[in-house]
Amino acid sequence: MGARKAAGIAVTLLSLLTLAYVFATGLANGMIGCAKPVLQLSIKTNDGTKTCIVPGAVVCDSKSLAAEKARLAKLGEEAKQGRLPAECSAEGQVTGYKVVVTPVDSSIAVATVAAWMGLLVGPWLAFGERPSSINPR
Amino acid sequence: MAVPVAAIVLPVLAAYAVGYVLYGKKVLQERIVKADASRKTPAYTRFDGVDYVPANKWVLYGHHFASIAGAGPIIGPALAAVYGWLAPLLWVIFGNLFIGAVHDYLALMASVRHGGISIMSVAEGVMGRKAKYAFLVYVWGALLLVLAAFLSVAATVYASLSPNAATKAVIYMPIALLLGYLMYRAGLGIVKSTVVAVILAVLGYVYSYYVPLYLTYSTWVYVLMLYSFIAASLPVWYLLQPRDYLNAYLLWAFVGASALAAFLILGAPVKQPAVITWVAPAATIGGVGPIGKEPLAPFWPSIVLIVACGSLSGFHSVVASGTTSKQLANELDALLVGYGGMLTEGAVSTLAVITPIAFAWSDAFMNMKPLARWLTGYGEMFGAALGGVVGAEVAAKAASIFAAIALTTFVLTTLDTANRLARFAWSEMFDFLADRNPGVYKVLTNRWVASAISIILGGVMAVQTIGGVPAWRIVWPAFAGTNQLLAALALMTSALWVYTVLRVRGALAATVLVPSVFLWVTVTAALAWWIVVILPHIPPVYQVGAGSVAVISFLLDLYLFYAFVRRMTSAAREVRVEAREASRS
Repeated sequence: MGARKAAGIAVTLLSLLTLAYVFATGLANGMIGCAKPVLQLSIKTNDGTKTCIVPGAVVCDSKSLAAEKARLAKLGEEAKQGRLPAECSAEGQVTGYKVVVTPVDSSIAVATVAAWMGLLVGPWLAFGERPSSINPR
Repeated sequence: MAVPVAAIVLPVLAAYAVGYVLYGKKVLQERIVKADASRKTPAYTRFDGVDYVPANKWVLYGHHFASIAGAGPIIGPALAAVYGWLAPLLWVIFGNLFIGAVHDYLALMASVRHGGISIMSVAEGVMGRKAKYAFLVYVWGALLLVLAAFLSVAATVYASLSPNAATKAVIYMPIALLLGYLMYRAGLGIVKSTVVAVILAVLGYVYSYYVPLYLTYSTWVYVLMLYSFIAASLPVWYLLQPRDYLNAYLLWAFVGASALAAFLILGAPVKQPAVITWVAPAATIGGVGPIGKEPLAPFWPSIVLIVACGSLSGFHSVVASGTTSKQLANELDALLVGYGGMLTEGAVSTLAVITPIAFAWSDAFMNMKPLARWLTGYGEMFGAALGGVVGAEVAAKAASIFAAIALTTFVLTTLDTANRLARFAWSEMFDFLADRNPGVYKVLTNRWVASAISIILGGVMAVQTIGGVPAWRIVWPAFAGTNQLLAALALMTSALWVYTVLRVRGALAATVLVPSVFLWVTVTAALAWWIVVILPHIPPVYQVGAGSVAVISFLLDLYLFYAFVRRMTSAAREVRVEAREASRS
């Protein structure tokens, strides 16, 4: 077996194992990687409408993500009733809010795309460039 | 009085069926090109196992269709809805049958008859060497812009709009690789391999529906650059053919579901007026900033820039004469792949976009962005069609999710196909070095080097900002003009090829010459309109970016038309001399 073929098989197997682990973890966590929900408040002031951002915590599973989103939504409701969070110093009326989920880079997500690339080149290294025949199938 | 949905759907289906057989097959294939099943195609004569590989016609149809169908056939007609439904519908149907599909088919066949070279290089034979290089540089530049735009769009979709689509992309590629392996190396055959791949793809969709993948925008840009670099250099049979073939199933499901929903509501009234206005807001043709709401986009010539690839597109000729022509196994397959591929894209525009928007129209639609306009209309059409079975709300929501999946699936396809096409264009630009300096030529046209150069430049435009605006966005308002100008030039090249190489004369030649001149006049008028009326009023940063591109495009347009007229005139003179000599003898 040539070095190229051996490297190809090794990269393919490693990528498959990584993806199997990632997908199993994703199924257990309800997501792959981590995210940070943020609360965006629209505040009407004398100078016009401003947006105040209240960052949430970084979470890496869907249950925690849902809980964090609910916590921020509650803050948004409270802000609409006049109780502005400490992050927002602007004086004015909160006219609306929304909770947005922003992605965060994590080792498991980076491993996922690395395995993705590995799977792209691994079989090519292992099996070579040419199809077994030139008859169109 | 409101017309029923049937007034849109039935004429569309009849026009495509009749047009495919009577015009595509009988006129183009049999009388003009005289396609011959016994003639060996470049996929065999230049087989290299990487780019030149013969493909099954359905596999190739899948590749071609998935590559030419980006967001254009959806966004374009949704934008054009501000004119009403009738005029955009007629533009799509007639544009498909007599311009777009003719352009795609002839670009494919001209390339096949010239050993699989691009339509830009075919121009050398009919318009001269200067025309070829001007054309190639122009197309390569346009492809860099496409790369930048799709890198940015794909990264935005995966990072912000739909992290679930990112999971789907990661799962989908290994399934396509497996399909390629089963078909091309394990010899399982197309049917069994397809069944295995489709089952896995469905399971993958279910998984990705529940499990999103989170990565930031900038990380996605770099990952997608790496992906595009590798995917554009790998053999076509390995990933491109099986992946696009699988994609075609998804797109067909999308077209089929749209047709089914439209059939279920054939008797329902269309709420949108047939004609709303003949002069739309400037934003519909790339009027950026405060000018956007001014009524400055007359239906003609603006419509050619607005509907874009729902009707015709220059990018199609680059695909047809780039990746597709190198994989065509039989000249007779070109009708399905080239002509049929364009009609299928037109079916997406008419059945899946114009029909639902017309059906669900309300005054609120005027103020919606085109994507929201389409998603709302599509959901409502399904709600009305299937509401009795699963409930209107569930049907509408499911349709909207399905539509979003169909849209995002093709982003990645276009990305690596565009990089492969940029690699081809780059390599053909250095043809002149092949004999003069073979060493340098070999390095510059090495597929890994050529692929890296294009994607790096595209990536720079995707991440670099100027005045707070991404570099590619500054140029983007001119892209519609660039792309449609490319279509006009490719069709003129094809017309010259038909006249001077195939030696087709009379009414048959006119079936290609007349649409090519009409398209050139329309696109040139649209470009001139944009430069004179729109450009002076858009923000300065766009004036520099998009304005420069539009002006360069316009100058190139005039030069290539001059080359076209000069060649046509000399060809006509030759014909007269031949006729005189024939009469003497």
